[in-house]
Amino acid sequence: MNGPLKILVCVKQVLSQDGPIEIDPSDLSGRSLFAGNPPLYALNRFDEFALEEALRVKDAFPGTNLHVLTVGPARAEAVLLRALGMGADHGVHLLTIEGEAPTPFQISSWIADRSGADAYDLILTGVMAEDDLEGLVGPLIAERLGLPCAASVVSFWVFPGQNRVEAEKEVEGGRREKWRLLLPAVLTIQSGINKPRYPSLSHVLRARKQALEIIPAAALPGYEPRQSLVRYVLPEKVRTGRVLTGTPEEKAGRLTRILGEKGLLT
Amino acid sequence: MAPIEPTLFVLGDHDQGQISPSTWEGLGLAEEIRRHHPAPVKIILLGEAVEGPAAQAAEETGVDVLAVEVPGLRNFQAEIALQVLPELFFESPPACLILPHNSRSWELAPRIALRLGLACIPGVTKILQEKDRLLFRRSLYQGKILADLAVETRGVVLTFESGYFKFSRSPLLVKGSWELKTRPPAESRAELLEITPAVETEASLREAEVIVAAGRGIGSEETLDLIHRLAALFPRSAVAGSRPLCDLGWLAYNRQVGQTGATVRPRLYLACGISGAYQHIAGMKDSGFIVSINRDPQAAIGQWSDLRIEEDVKTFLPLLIETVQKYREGRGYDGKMTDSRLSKME
Repeated sequence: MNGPLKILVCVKQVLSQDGPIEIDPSDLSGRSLFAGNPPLYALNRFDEFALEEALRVKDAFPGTNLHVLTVGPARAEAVLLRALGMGADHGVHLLTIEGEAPTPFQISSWIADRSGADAYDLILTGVMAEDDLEGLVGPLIAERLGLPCAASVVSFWVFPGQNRVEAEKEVEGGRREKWRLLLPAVLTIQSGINKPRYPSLSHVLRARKQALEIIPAAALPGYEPRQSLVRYVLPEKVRTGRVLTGTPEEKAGRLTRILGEKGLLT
Repeated sequence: MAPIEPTLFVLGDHDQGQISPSTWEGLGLAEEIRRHHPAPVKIILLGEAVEGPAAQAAEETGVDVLAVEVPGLRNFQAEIALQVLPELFFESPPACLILPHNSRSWELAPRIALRLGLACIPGVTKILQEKDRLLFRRSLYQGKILADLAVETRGVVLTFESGYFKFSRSPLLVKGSWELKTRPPAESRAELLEITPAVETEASLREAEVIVAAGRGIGSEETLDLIHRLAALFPRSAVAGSRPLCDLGWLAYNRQVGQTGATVRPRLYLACGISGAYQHIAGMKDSGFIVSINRDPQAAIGQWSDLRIEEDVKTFLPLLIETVQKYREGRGYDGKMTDSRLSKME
């Protein structure tokens, strides 16, 4: 490999997991969600772990060029600014229209078009997004670019001189497998791998002056969505889910009595 | 020439010469599809020494098996599966390729879908028929909302969550046929270096009759003290946590319940501040009696609970600890809880 490492981290803006999320009754198609007014957005937690890992590689190999990319409407700029505030070097915004919901096949293809097969040594993203929990975009980028991919990575080591990365993946039941991949490669990062840093003042100030690279998704080649949302539905109860009522004290008393009657307190 | 018929392929799992239970679940999903959309079903098995599992699968399931011996493919590799699978579909294109939602499918399912021009829907829990098309249901937002998706391609790669699909073989007991192909060793840009066994689950967790489990919703590490104090009031009890809680470092990973941790079945599972994402549910849903304490009335854990308490864990647990203590003292006094004591508690 020649020159410094180049890393791309793909991040997504998601609805905050702490806010309310309901099916919007005013849209009869059932394809809209209501998440408060105004809705709260956040950087996908899994992507934050991926970003922190990339920053650690940059700390270990000074000179590493770290780009961060998002696909989303204008409001998604916030996650790029946060990433720059944490220490990323450059932000790329593939701009969509609010309300549009491109599928993973479209999103991954746009990202692959923008990045190209040789532009980055390492492409990182979260193992999934907290909103749709799909985990498709990372491996699809790898496929579009013809790169090897390791999903659900819980630790990794880059060997730039040897053109390889060793990645430990989490598999069923908490077992781990360590794989060696040739660079360039795509890794999707599992939660808990690190403690993401907070944005620093100096980086935030620099980010404010820095221009983002904004590319309207409409200017990128069109791709088939392949699948579509028909409607959102509410989950059915699996168990009775009886809600205990009363004051907190009364609820504690009732719960204790029920547990006692079931012989669980002896 | 026989017409080319789109087929429902189930990518089977095998381990140490045995068919894995997930293969049966995959067949269950194929059966669900066949109820609406009749099509032939085939099991695909890949790997080294695959002949034994192929014969076993054909005999036990009654479904035809297509096995591919791939020298050197001891541990599943998406890179190699990606080279082998497309060759199998020349004769019958996949209407569906079905595989379990696990670490293997993370890498394989989307890539093979893109390569074959198919859609890809991960973590399916239900199949529905609407008008002339099939819809695939999956969960979003930690299980708070579900989505029904439709496919706009001629076929789809589906991964399924465990525990939702069951297969019962035909009572006619007809054995399936099996066919073995061999292919040369595959090239891969990935090499397996080592396998580390899972962190051993804390013994008390496996043996516990009562588990008090904490999630991120407990708010702060200090609240864990209440969780421990509550657990200590029950005989044969243990403290467990969700993955996000262990990720925060508040509890060791050997106390994690869920898909990437332990699977438990205590008599009582008290879920405190747990959202109820399926990754956690998969590890505790067969518990005897499930009580959830969560401030968020929408939390998906409610769907899986026998009893729900919509309170903040931090303020509710001290009250619960106090009443349980009183109850136990009451029993200690005369072996029985008097009605007057109970009504006082309420």
